[in-house]
Amino acid sequence: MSWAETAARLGLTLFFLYLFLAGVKALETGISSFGSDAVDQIFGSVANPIAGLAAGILATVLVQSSSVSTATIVGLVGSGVLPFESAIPMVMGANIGTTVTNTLASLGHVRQSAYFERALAAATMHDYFNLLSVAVLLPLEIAFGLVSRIAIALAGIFDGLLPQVDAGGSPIKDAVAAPVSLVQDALTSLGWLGAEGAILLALGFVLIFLSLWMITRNMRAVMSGRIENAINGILGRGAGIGALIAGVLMTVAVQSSSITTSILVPLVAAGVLTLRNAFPVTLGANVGTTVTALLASVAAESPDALIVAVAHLTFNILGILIFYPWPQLRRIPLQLASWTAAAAVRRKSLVAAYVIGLFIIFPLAVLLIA
Amino acid sequence: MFSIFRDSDQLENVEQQLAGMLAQCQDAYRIATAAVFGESDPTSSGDELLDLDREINRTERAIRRELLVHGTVRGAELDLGLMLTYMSVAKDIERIGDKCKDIWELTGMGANFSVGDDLEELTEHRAHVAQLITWTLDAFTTEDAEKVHELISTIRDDAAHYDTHVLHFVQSEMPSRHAAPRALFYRYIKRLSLHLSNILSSVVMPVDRLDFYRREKAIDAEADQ
Repeated sequence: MSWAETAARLGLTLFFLYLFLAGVKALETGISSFGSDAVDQIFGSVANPIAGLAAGILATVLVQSSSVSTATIVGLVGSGVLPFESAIPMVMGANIGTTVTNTLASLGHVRQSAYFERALAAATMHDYFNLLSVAVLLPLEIAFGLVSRIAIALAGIFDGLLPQVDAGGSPIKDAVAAPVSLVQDALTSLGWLGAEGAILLALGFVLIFLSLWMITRNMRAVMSGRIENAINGILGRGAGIGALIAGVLMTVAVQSSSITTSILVPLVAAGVLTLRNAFPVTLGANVGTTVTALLASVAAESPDALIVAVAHLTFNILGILIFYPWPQLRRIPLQLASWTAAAAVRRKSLVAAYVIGLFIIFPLAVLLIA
Repeated sequence: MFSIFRDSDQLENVEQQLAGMLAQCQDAYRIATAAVFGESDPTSSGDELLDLDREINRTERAIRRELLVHGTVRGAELDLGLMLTYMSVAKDIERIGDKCKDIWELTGMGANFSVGDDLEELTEHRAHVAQLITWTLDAFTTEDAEKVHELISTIRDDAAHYDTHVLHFVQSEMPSRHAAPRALFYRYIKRLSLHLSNILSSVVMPVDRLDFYRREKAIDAEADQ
């Protein structure tokens, strides 16, 4: 890729990043416009952490992107309608929901049993790691506020690092608020005040979705040579911290953990990358994807938005610290994924049951009960 | 560690590795023929040859992995034709390495071409094939279509000539310890040359006609570009 094209794509990425932040701001402003009764009705059910987890899974499965769902959650927290304590289980759910993309991608290998088994194991190892992390950390969060306590402490440090203007607030926040104010003024002049909240909410969501899609597209084009080098490096050097960091950097670069993990699935399926070597890259992707929520928190008014974004990062890092350093624990998600894949090869209907059960029926049932 | 995030054109890397493999085949051919022409000790040259062959095989596997990564990251539709071509070229180069090993193994049959009336002719063929490998490497890396057509035509003529030699030794009254290694040598350099022809065809032929060279098809493909 020429320097001119790279520069143009990076320029476009910055523009879409601005649109992304404006989208978060629009969503935040839109939801604030709803009355407190309506807001309570919508978000009352997710006060239950299990329901919040289910909502996070379902929302992410529906939009097929944890970046979109976590940015939306950050926007909601930023508007003040969603307390960060309720949002933390939702971002944990987003982590689980995002893995459906991989599992669906692995179905492309169904024609050849050996390929399919390896592909499904690569996809479901991500599911199992996230499920196990939630199984350990959600009870600790409910009982002791473990994740939120760490996130509050870290957010305090991060907040000090963000550009602030003493009297007028953040220049970034002012810059992203400007187009939202323009839309608000336009709606007022058109006399559509009653629909302002819904229009801004929809606009915010569309902007978040489209801008993230365009950022991913552009950055993938810019970064593909580097990603190839990184993957070839991982193939050459094997698993380890280097692979984990490569997973973080790749995902930060393309702003999508699904892109990173979906690259791994065909490589594991073809047998050139082992499950053990792909695992740290997947964990790195989990950490890398939290950058989107951190970016979204830049546009949000409430400091709680930063707390939930940092909680997303904290949750993923704690998950790695629990399961990765200890070989016995590290093997658990890999072993569960291998068993699932072996069983799925014998009975392919199990895959449909697994996907529908985990990603649709479970969250729907929990939400209905809540 | 961050050097892995250096940007580079991976297909260009693959091309360089293919050229490197072919250069290793030049060495392998030199070592194998030196042994069979009684110019070196077969045992020590055998170790050197096996190391080279292992290196060629390793590079072939690395190329396969890199092409798979390239297709997965970039989307295979972009360079699919080129990727399939490089897979095919890597296989042909790896086979040339095998043929060099086959030539060296003739020493195990007691072959020593330095002893015999046909030394001059064998030496001439040996040098010609060495030259073909060099020319192929050059034409492949420079993508010189005219040179490619010329070389493929030469190799086809050579192949027919080598077949005549094989037949001659198979039907000769010569003791089999002389005739068999010679028949096999001509057979191996014929196969080796045809692998070179396959490599050359990748420069001018469409993917579906790789290894099935026909000059008019190649020219049609060039005209369509």
